[in-house]
Amino acid sequence: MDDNQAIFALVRRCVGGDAAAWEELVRLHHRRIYNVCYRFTGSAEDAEDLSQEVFIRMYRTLGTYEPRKGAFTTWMTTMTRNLLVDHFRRSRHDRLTDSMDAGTSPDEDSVTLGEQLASPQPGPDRQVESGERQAMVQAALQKLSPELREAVILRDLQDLDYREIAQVLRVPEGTVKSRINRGRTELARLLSRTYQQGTPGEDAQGARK
Amino acid sequence: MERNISMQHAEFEALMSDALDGLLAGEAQQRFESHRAECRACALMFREAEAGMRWLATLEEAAPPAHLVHNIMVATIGRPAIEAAEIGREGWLQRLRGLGVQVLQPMLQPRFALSFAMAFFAISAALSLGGVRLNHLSAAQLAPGTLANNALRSLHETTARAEKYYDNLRVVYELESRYRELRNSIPDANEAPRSPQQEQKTVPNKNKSSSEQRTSPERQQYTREQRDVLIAGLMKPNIDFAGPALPRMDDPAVAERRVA
Ligand SMILES: [Zn+2]
Repeated sequence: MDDNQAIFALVRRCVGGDAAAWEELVRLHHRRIYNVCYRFTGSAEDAEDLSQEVFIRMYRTLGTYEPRKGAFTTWMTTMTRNLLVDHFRRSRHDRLTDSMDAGTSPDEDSVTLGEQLASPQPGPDRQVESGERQAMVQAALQKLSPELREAVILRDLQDLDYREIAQVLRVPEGTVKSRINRGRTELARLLSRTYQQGTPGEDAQGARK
Repeated sequence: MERNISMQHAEFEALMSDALDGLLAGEAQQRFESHRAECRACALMFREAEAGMRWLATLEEAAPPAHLVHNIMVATIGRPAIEAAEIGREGWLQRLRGLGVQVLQPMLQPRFALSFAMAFFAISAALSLGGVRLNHLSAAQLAPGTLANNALRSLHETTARAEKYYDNLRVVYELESRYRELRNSIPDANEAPRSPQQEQKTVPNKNKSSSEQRTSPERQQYTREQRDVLIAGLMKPNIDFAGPALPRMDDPAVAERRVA
């Protein structure tokens, strides 16, 4: 809570027109926002543009943030997520948006994970050794439906708790948990299928939903 | 109650995330474990969820591009952040050194560097306006001595001219594209000198065959980064940091707070 109070003090200075405070706020949070965008889109370039958009929107609406409505991180993540949804709808993946709830089978896309892995996206994963594995996981993440993807990103990469995620996504906590379960299992299946290691994909459907 | 004795699949699934977080305890945990031992489908689902979680944990935090904060500051308050501009200028100088322009070292002393660089880019832009493309120049014309002479000869007029136009975005773009040309032409003409910085930046492409044709994405990104750093470096001397007040935030709530 102390943390959030400090952030709110900073926010108030920004609202008062303090440029140094604004820069501090940007520096404090740009990595988090960039990472959410990068992991969701899988593109360094999109992540950069979207992060900028998030901060432009944040700059305009900073005065509306109220700490009693929740942590600044939650407020900021909600804004980021809304922009990502907009971006997703604009982008060529439109066709998936409508069928999000139908649940996605990894085979229904024409581009296989293998093909995707064969044309690696430029990314900021610097370390060469783990770079390949990370690109592989990122490619699998890209195959998840956006609903499952955002849920696991917020939980497993951004470390938000279920209550916060429920707030960001505006769905009940039970739904959050179920999406995280499905996101994780689907990711594991995609990766084990590609590498023919780990668990067989046998009869897991019956257990789901 | 039967629920207490045996757990249903749905309940198992509902508790799974807590179980993976290590939050289950006591009776709930016992029932969870016994269902896992009995039900193959749920056991498999648990294994997969756990594996997925572990895969995700291998993803490291991605490093945002160095110029991101700078660009955000420009996009929001309309001027570069002070720190970002400082970092940008230094990085840019080091990179110019890294291009293998060894003979120019004396001119890259920080106190000369900026005026030299302005002249350098202004010449390049002027040549371009006159129809000469940088990568069409011969090695002799590009020899550091000639370059330095040209730079010195036209230092005053070009610097003055360039300064006059620096607030003109078109010129900045022009300089930017000259810079890109220069950068691209040097490794082509002379493969040998590559700075360690460049080696570092150029992440080895995992799939050469498919992407060798077009410019590699890493390289595009690198160039883009340099562009912003370059612009940051060029803009800096003209930015009056004590200058115009921040643009007012247009949100009504903001205005209210400000009055209060
Ligand atoms: Zn079961």
